[in-house]
Amino acid sequence: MFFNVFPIPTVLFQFLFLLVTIAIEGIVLHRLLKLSRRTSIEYSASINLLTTFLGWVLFFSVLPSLPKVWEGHLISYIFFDRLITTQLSSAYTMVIFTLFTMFLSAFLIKLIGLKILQLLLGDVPKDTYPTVKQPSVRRRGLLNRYDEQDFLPPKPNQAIALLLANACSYSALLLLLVLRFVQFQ
Amino acid sequence: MGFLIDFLKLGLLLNFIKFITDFFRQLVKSLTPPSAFSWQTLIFLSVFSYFMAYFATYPLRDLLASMGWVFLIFGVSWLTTDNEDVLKIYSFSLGPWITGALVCIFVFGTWRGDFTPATLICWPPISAVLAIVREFFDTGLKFKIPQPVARQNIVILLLTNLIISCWFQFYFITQDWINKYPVLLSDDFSKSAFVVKLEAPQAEMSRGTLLLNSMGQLIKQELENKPWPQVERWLLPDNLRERLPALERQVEKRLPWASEDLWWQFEPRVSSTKSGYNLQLQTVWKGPSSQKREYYIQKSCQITPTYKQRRGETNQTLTAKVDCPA
Repeated sequence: MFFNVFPIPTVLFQFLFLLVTIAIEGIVLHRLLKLSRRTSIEYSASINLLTTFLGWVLFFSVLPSLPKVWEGHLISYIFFDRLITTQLSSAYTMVIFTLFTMFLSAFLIKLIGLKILQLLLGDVPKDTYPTVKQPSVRRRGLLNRYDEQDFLPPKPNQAIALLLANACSYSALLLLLVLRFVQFQ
Repeated sequence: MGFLIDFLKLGLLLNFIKFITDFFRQLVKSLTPPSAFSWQTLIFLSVFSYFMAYFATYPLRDLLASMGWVFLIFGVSWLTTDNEDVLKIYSFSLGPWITGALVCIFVFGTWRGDFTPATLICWPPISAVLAIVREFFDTGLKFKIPQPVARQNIVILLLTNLIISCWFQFYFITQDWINKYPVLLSDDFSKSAFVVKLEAPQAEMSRGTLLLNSMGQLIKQELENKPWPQVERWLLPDNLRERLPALERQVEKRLPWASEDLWWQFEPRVSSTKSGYNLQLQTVWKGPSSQKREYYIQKSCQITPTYKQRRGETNQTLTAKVDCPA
């Protein structure tokens, strides 16, 4: 009664996706936030695991309150890869909408997660940027018009770095999905 | 020549015996407690409690068995922390997972025989908690906040184990679905991106067949020995369509309820034959399936007119005879 259907492909696919995502986001964080390689991989691993876990929690909490019809659709998709839809176009819009929501919520979770993680670890991101020299006496004049500040590249923002990292990893996910879709046709 | 071979065989046998005795001697040495305060005593206490539990009566038996388990858990935990280098896979010590498995089996009653999904689902988080609990206590069992270096590892370890338990939970959810709708088991799972099926398909259409047979019996009851014109009127498509919901409700009342009933739909079809009517009863599976074409079970009933003399009447009237082969 218990040993017939196993979610082995789910486990494998999620494991693979986590590895790829952690690697990609680690590289992006390392490049953009100028963190050490080890720290950026650790940060990336923590926030990606957190996002995956919260995604599962959401799935499990939504599942009991699904009406029977939706449960039927879900079972049909998970077991047989068929979307019972009357119109094909509405299926595609649903898929695109879901992916977009997933992207935004993942980004938000990662942003908040990173802040919490840094709080927990007591890590303040080391400012490896050259500090701006403040002249003690400033005279406004033609020669002092431009500060040295203007010529330094802007300090990296964590939010933007995470957004970019998320975008890269979701592109990888889309690529994997397209490959799988094409393989099955 | 034969004498030489016998001599060699004897030598081998003696070597073998020496090997076995050495092995047992080593085993006994490692099992005897070097001091009163070691893991071996705990294991022995556990075996002792279990042994005693055999001779005790309920409720003392339960208490002794529980104590046996508690001793076993502590003993194994001690043993694994002492020999941590032995049980490692890729610098990942296995000890907490073994201890965690024992804790889960004890706490969730599996040792008594009632296996719940909670055992498997809580096993990874409990193992993770056991693995990190060491970081929270200073020497002398004082509570301390773990070091920042350890904190990162704690976070990753905890999250990984929580995700593993989510995978177990997903397994139980799919099992739930299959138990609710057993008919899915006879379907084709090869296109699924989420699950694999590991058994030869069995004909699990029992619920559908049950429903169909029940409906057949009901119709037979309704139409048998009734006057022919009445039966003919009953078999008209409009009437049949009207009658169907009431019939379905009656079938549902007769059988114990199952979740599958929601997806099985009756579709009767009447066609006229030379000697009467042919009622084709179909139950169609309207639920999740791997094919576009619908999946149905069919049963044909022959309805023929016969002459029968009803009690209390002198003439013979035309009545219906319903024949549904099994």
